[in-house]
Amino acid sequence: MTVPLFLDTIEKTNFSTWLRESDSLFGFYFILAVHTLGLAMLVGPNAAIDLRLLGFGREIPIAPMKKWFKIMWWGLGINTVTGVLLFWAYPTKAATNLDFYIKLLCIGLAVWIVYRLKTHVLGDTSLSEAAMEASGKTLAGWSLFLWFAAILAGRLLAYTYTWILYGQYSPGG
Amino acid sequence: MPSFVHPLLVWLAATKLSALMLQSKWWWAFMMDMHFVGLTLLMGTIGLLDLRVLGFVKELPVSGLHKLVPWGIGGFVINVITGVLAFIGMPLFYGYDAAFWLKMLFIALAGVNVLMFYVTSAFRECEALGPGQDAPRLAKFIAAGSLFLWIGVIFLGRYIQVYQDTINH
Repeated sequence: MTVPLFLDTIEKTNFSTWLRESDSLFGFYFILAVHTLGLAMLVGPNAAIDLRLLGFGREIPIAPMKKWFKIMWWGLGINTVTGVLLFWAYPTKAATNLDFYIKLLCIGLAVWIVYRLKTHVLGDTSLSEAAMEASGKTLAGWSLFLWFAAILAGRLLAYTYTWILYGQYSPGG
Repeated sequence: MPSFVHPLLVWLAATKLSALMLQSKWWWAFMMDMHFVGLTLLMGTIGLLDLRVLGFVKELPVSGLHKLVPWGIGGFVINVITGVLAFIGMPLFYGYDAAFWLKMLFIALAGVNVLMFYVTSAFRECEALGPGQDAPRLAKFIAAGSLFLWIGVIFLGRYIQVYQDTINH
């Protein structure tokens, strides 16, 4: 496979080099840590909502949980920014790995479900609690599945890459 | 590091179980994956309970949110198991890592913190909180501590890779 040249161009920028090589406490691993915090903010509350819609913790009223979406959107924003930065540090490593696209696909679908949950279930004021639970169950199941797959695909990035840098074939893991 | 630790770590690294952990990179990848699933369950239940006690989304009754705590404990148990197995797999990697031991300290402090929550009046007073009611100051203090410590644990976990071999042996 020919690796597209623009990945090399990105890697050669000062910023990309700094992200990879800086010894600063706020370099690569800081971004990775913030990416993990963003994961907790986005998927944590979503998992709690899913569990409730699937019938756990029935004492919790469903409608007020929609305020958690604010935390989740912040998590998504944080992870979009940190995700772009992580890509900027190792563009070839990510772009040449099929697993990277699987992860993005899972996230895309999961976020679409978050949006559906917000507009069609928790945010629909015409629905009773019981109706929310009934109409949200399928979405909740898919949500848990897709986030699980996204986390798995994300973790596997560390073990499935073939190119670490442009022109540097180095199967990982 | 006290002098008795090194032989212990070397012994652990030579055990069959340690070798088993490293036999396949896919097993290691699976353990790390479950460690992140556990993290999500813990933060998604305990973290949100902390936020409620601190006053975020007061419409939710504390006793109801408390019903999800077993999922958080489940996540924590997953992480203790996968964490201990990872340590057994690479004892000399983790054993001399400053970020790793600081992470352990933070987890221990989070343990003391949660004990404070259940031993003092904080839990009893919180459990009775219905929609819209404000938590007492002690409970808020404990909830803020919990959030700080668990976010710290996430960060320290990520820095383990950077701080290997930072402790003299």
